Amino acid sequence: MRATIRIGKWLFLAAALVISFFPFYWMARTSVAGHDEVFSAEFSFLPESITFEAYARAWTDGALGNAMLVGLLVTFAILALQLLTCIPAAYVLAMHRRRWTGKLFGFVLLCLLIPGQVTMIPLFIGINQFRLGDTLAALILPFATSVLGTFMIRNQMMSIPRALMEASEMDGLGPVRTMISVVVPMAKPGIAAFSVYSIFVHWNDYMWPLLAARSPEIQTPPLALAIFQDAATGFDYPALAAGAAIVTVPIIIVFLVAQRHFVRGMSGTEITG
Amino acid sequence: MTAVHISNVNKNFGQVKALEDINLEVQSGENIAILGPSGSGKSTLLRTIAGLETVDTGEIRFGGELQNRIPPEARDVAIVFQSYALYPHLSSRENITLGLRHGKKLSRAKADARATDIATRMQVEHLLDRKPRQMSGGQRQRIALARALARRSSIVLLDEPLSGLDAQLHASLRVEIAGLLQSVGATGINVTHDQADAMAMASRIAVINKGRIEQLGTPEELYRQPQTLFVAGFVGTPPMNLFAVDPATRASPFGAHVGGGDEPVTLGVRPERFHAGEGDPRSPEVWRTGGTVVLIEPTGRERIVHLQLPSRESFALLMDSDSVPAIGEHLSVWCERSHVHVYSNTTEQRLGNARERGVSLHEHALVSSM
Amino acid sequence: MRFISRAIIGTTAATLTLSLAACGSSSSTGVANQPADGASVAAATDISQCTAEGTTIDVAFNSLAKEPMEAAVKVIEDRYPGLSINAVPSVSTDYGELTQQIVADIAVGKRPDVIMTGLGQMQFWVDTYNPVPLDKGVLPETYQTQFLGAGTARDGVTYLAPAQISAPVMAVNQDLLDAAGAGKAEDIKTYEDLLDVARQVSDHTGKPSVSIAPSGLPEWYTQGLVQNSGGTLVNEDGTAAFGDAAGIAALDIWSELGRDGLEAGIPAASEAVDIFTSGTLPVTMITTSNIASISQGVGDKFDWMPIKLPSIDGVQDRALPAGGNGYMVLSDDSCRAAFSGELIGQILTPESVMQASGTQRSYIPVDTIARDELLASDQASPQMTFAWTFDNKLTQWGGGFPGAHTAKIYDAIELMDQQLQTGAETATAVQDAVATIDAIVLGENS
Repeated sequence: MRATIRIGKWLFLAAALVISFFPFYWMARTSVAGHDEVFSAEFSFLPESITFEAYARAWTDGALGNAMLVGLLVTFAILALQLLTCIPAAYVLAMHRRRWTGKLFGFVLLCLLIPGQVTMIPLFIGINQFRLGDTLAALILPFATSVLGTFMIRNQMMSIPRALMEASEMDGLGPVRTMISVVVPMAKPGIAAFSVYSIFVHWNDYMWPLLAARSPEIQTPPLALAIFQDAATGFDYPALAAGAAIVTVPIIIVFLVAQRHFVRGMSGTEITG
Repeated sequence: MTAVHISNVNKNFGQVKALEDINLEVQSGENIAILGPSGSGKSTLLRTIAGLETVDTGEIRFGGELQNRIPPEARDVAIVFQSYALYPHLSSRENITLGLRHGKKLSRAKADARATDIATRMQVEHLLDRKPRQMSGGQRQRIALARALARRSSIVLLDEPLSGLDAQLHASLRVEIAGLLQSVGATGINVTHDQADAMAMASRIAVINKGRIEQLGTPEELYRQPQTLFVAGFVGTPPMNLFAVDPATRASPFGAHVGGGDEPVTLGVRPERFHAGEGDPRSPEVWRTGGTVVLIEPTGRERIVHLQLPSRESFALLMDSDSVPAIGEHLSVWCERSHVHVYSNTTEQRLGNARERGVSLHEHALVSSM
Repeated sequence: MRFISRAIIGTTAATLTLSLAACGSSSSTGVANQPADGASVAAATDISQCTAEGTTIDVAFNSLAKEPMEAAVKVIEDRYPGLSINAVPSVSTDYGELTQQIVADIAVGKRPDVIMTGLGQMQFWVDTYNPVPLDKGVLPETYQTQFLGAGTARDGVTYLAPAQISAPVMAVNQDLLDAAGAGKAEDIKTYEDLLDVARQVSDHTGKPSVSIAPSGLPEWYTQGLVQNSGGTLVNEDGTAAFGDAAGIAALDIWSELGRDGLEAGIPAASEAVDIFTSGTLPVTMITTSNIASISQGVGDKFDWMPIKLPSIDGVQDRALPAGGNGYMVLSDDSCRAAFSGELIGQILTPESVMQASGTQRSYIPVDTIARDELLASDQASPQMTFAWTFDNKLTQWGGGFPGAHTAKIYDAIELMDQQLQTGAETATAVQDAVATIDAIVLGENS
């Protein structure tokens, strides 16, 4: 009986593994298969012939080198700004509760309810009024803070025992030093989880860069890949898959690095005093 | 070395009176305990001394200087928190030095030297590089204490310093803490719900209940003359037996009473003041009662014997291990009139012992009048 | 805690302001419908009255026309020294996304002079942004003017010069027909022919054999079926016209295929194309622009042929809705409008059309010289020849439903298409859709 359950669990996990890895495998397979083989009716696990021609095409036609540099710059600049703004905001909302902080937090949460499309055009107008249209700043500044980030980091900070705040008050650390030396290290899982989320979202963002970045020099990876999706005449699937594979690599690296913290942050960390 | 003076302190949380008219003087270098059940306001009192809570009215002075508007880090006080409140991501050394470096603005070298010094004194140097989760409860408590002492404050506050520790550690650590506080010459105030801890660590104890100090005194004073019904029922293991006197008939388990005025009262007798047997039948100083043995608790040298009265109330007495009755047996007991405490039902204050108050039994009054 | 520096609270306030600005930072698709821009229509003036020096023409287009646009820009800048043309292609080939970019630019005062737009969005521009009517004089003599219907709005005015165009047709897998002994692809001319072939193939394979996908291009496929059998999609007042007998008869084929279990039930048009390319789908509705990529995908794996849409009566030369794109002038200045017209003329010259319709793409060439050259090239397979010689008249995509409500109207049509695909009663499904659309349209007018 026990053994059956064990085997069942293993089978379930194995199935989950296959389901989650299959798209990656298929992406890799498509990227090295010829264009005509993409439309083959018969399923074959390995392509008949392997060619890396699609990678070359993706890299040069999509100008992926430059796009990845821009993407990294934009993504990490956004993350840095978001952490600079969200951490102090979350800290005040979580640790210095007053009568108005509850209302203020409710107000911040309301922002989560507003869909992105609603603010996109006003944001675009605003960015252009600052004469930042079609610049790197236009890709970065609108995301200088994140409501979700404030929310996630605040929630993490809420789990820090009150007594630690009092200990730091008795130690005379002051609010800023308390934040840096006590609260931030203890909120690390939440900060890491949000960081991974932010990097994912902004690395993959398409609509805003499509509006804000018109010059080829500042185009991000998703825009670079768009060139292979010809809506009218069909997609260049091998190049698209090769491009996607190249563009996914940094994200996988980020996830592997942050994985430990990320998983803890998602499951709600336990802090012992 | 600083004395603490608390005068007329009041503190409300909304409608709840947390502290009511608190007056307390702690001598410089003295070690006192604040004893009370949970929710009595003892932690609030400690936190107002630390500066973590403000007072609504009243004054807190250290060495004569008013503290009310001084933030906690600027007060000459250190606190050991109930849950230790060690920073979990920092080593013991960093826990000790963080406040010294950033609060007290000591250089890293000086702060490290202090940490090493106090750790050596407390024989916990080997723990300096461990993080809290790598230490046992007792080790964490020692590091929390080291962090407080490293501040070299004149006043050290301890909030339930021994809760959550096993019994053996409990007993040894309370002696150790008391000794440490004495050796550094700090004024110590520790909050506890455990009277054994309070008596072992403190020269004086303030018993607090519902935000009021019921009695302040040495352990002996608290034991000998509990000033209020609450203290009588709280201090002592087992606590004092309390017997209501029926206001109409003026009868208690000892019989009908005469004398002592008309005020409704409650009588109190410590379990160890009862003796088995009849006592001197002719002496008006001997009061008798009795009951059915319902429970016998061994405590080592002695036994606590619980007797049930016909009214189904029960009371306790201490007996030697070698003369223990059987359960269900009827046992007669007696005590001396001067060992019976008399408390006012209205003020809950102690009025004196029965002899001082002139309370006697009706039967004796008849005898003496004959 | 009480003794807190106020500095932190200041940071919160600043962050909050930024939060409001960044509300809902993640983005998604959706065309923003902006209110009509106040710019007045500027009729193109005689170009000899205009100075090129210091004039800048802004062009909004996408990478589909990258090469022809670069060539045309060079020619016009050489022809008018001092004129500068600012033409950076959008990376997206999605016309909705291109429209969104242009709308955003207009909102910040960067109204382009020339725009490329999907033919399906012409009415939106006409209704909302007052484009300049097309100056037909700029078109080369060899331009196939029968296609200008695709650039003509409901008011009868031609605003747009079609450039890369396509029409709804069907693709037939001849090998699968042969295996079932179902005859030749080119013999499918009437709905009856289509049903016969579908039944024979399905009897042979035991599987449904025709796909008309309801999603992806719902209004366009619907319009194609309706017009091809003599119906009309939109009335002159903008209400739905396909609820009449002709419309219902035209759409009945869809439902009949569904009822008879002959419809493959594929939801999206692009998916149907991919499945057809894999060789398992006998017949599917496609656009002529798909022909090149299907040819590439199929290679010599099987024999296939595009055919004109079968109709109820076998007539196959009625006007069909045009797909693809074209150019419009949005200039609010008459001289810039004139230069813009010149640029459009240049991008429609035979050389440019060669590049735009090209061998990689099977758009219908809008120029006869370009068409003939393409037909003479070694790329002129029977399938590509079919695309390049397609000569039905073309009409406006969407038939002229009011531009401000197209999204809702097309949703109603897509719902109808989904019902038809599953074999719902044709008249009921059509009347429901007509009622919904009329409520939307008349609601706007009242």
